[in-house]
Amino acid sequence: MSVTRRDFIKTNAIMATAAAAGITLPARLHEAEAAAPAGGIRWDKGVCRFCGTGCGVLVGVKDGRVVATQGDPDAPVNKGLNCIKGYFLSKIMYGQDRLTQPLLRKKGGVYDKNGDFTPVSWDEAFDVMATKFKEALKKKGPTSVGMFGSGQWTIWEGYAAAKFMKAGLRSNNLDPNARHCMASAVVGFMRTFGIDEPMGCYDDLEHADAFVLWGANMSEMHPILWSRLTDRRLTHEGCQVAVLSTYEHRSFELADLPIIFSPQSDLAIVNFIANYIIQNNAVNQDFVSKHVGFKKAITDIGYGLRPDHPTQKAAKNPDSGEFEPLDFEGFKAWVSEYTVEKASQISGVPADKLIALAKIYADPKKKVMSLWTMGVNQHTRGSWMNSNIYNIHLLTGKISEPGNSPFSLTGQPSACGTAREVGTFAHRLPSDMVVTNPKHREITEKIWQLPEGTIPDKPGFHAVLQHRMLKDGKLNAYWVQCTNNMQAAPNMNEEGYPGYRNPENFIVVSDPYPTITALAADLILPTAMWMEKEGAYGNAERRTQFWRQQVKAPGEARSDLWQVMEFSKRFKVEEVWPEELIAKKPELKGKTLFEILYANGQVNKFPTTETQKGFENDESTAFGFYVQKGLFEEYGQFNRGHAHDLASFDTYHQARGLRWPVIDGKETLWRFREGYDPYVKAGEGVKFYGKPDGKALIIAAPYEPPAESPDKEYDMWLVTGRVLEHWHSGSMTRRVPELHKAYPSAQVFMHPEDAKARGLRRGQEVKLQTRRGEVVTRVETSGRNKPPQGVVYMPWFDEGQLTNKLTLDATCPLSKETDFKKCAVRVVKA
Amino acid sequence: MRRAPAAIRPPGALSEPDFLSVCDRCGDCSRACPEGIVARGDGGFPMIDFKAGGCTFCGLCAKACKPGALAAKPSWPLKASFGERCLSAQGVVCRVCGERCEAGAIRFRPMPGGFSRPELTAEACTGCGACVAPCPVAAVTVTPRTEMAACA
Repeated sequence: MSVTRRDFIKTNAIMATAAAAGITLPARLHEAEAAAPAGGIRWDKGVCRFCGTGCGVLVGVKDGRVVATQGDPDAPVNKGLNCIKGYFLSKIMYGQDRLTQPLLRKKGGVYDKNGDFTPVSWDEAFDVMATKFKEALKKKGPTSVGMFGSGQWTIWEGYAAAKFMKAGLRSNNLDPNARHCMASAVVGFMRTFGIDEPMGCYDDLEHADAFVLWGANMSEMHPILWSRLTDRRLTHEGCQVAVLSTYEHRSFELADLPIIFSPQSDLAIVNFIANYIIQNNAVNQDFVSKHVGFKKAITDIGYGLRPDHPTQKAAKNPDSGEFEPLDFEGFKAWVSEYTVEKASQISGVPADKLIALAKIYADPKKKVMSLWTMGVNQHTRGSWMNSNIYNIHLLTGKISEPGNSPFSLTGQPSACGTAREVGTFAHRLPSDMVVTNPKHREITEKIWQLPEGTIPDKPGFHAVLQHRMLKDGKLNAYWVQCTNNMQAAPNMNEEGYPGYRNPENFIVVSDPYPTITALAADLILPTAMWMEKEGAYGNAERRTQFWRQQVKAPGEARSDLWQVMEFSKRFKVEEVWPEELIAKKPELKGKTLFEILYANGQVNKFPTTETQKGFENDESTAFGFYVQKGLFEEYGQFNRGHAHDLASFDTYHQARGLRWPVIDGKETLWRFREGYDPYVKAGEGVKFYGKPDGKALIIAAPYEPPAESPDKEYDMWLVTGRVLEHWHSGSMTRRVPELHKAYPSAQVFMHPEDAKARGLRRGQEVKLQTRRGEVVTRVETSGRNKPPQGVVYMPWFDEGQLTNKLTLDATCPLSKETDFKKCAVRVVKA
Repeated sequence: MRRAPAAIRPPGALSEPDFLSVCDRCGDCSRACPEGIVARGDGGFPMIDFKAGGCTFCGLCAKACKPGALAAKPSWPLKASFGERCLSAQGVVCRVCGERCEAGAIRFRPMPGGFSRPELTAEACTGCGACVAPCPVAAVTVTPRTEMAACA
């Protein structure tokens, strides 16, 4: 019998897992045993549950339980590698406190906002929930109901929820946690290119001559991509790495050009680079004249705070995303004020370092990949900053070809695939369309077979606004799925918690575990997670990846998809739509939302017999049709032919993911360039077809100060973020004993001199205090993060130390994404 | 058959035969250890259990020792080593041991291929054992230097 490479690796995976568990297996475990389901482990391809990298994993199942995972050697993203979180994926579903039945706050046998969580049946849970949603709808209309979803939803979960909220309940109050994460990237893409998501792909990591990290600690947050970048740096002659951050972190280990800048001053640095490129005749004139237009952003746009906040009131043009006309000469003059002296003075970075950085971009022979994540996105000028990075790539023409790549990294496994592409934002519809555009609503209503006017034309409440509206009693029936937003959202003390506990409101949280968010709710629904359902994620390089349901969920836990679809059966159309809307399509009379949205002849088109034999598919069994396929193929109508083309459903179950647009079975690696992108015709060369004139925009946007800066009372900057070992709020990783042991609790990273000045020793208990709250933690003066004096860094994964009691809910006024990287804090002895 | 590795005694222990004759197994050293890493070993003699944590060399165990079994000039001829289970050897990005090494003796240098393995600067390793417990796959051991040499 021949042994394939994969068989060999599978065997190794079993050995490794056994070794990790302390089990000794016979040295020559036969490869046939590894592959055979009977008596052994069944292996199938899957996708990692954590970050936006989208690593492929092999999932091993034995006796109905995921017993092992292994980096998939055939996955192009990670080529068999994993980070420590990915290595322990098999344990995330088996925390001891998995929720297995619905829990409703009750007193004396009935629902009570101040009652204790009591196990109830799904029927009772949905009955109470439907009553509360209907009450709110009747009293105040569709704007009083809302849903908060996730970039961790599968593609069909997001799609089903979007249909349910935007068409079913006719409320645009649907937003994903990706608002906290990617919204500024989206606005940057839309303003500059008119179409969302990166033009390049991970292959750029093997083609670039230089890498510039603009506020991303890839070493910890995207470790597998970092390993690819590291390999390039060490094996490609002359390769350079520049790392920019407001504090020193692990990615600095590889930096040829390490740059620590003062918070917010990246705006000045990037504008200096644009100026340097122009002053030193490094503009690619041919590219700019053919493919680039110019605009000037309206300035002094505020900080996304509540309208009565003094800082917000001081803004001249709050929330304005308008432009003034501009041309190249105008831009040249405008940006000329960003001299190296000025940039150095604002940023605190020595002039020679700034010039060295600018030279990387200005050298026509150097292929440059810029990479960024939360440092740029979670920024009160995040949308500007995203576009400003594109400015320097556009000036030099370093874009849309192998190695020349401004690349916005993603934080969540399907922030792209679900939140952005499906359009689960309060202002969005599938395929980059928006609710404010009548044509877009018409296209959507047509595909969904709904009467004209079903989808409301005003954007709903975005993430931060949802918490404000809950607190103000304007959003009253609220459903949170697949995210731990009480812990994740900013300013928990003043907005999130009072919003959830407002007596006027009914809050439902679906989660596999009793998170902080779930415990702040009124009804908790137990959720089937990850390999307990068939799923699909879209990663940061436009790669759509599928997996099959591998195991059954415990107890009565059900997937988010089942929950939304089953709940939709509780609504008769007459209860939620006005008469005149139903009159436009009388055949809908008397129907439930389930029948209108899901049993519509499209979604229920594929029989359950098409599901893969030997694998469960609990949703399809429950509803009597191949749910995931029906939803995906209906969704496919939005993107095929519109430069977002997805392949057929069945194709993805075979492939290790494909990067859209997928045309004739072929994926697209670099968009907007002839020869790579089938949407660019022969002879066009480069075409930014997201814009009507085919030209990308260089947008002049200046440095403006942050929303809150250190002062006498609160004398330091607080930067929040993640650590390698935990993902986001830790609701999964903190339940893996090995990961918990590896990084048990959060700390505050601080400069030794700052600690000394406050009489603090390493390991000592301290209080972090801001204008909004206080958190007790311990001081760390060494280790992986080394902030400069005046800056502290604290991760937010630890539910025992709720970092977001401290943060300010200031957002980018355009993207509405919170700036979690900058607020004023003081540190005192506990 | 391989002999089980000798128990690691608290810092300042006399030579093993002397230690065994002087130590009266009172347990005072164990109670004195703020890190809780001095356990009751074979025959009731104290031994260091790195699974419980690392030694900070605070000297409280020796101070608490009335019979003087820990009266030797503190020496701690131990060093860390990384076994085959180490996740880094399997293409997994994990740097837990290095993170816990206050002496900076465990380094992860960027390597071609993109992921690195722990490297020990033996002179810098204090043998404190703080790297042992947090290892997610129990791949780190701390053993006497002499024994290491004999094995190699």
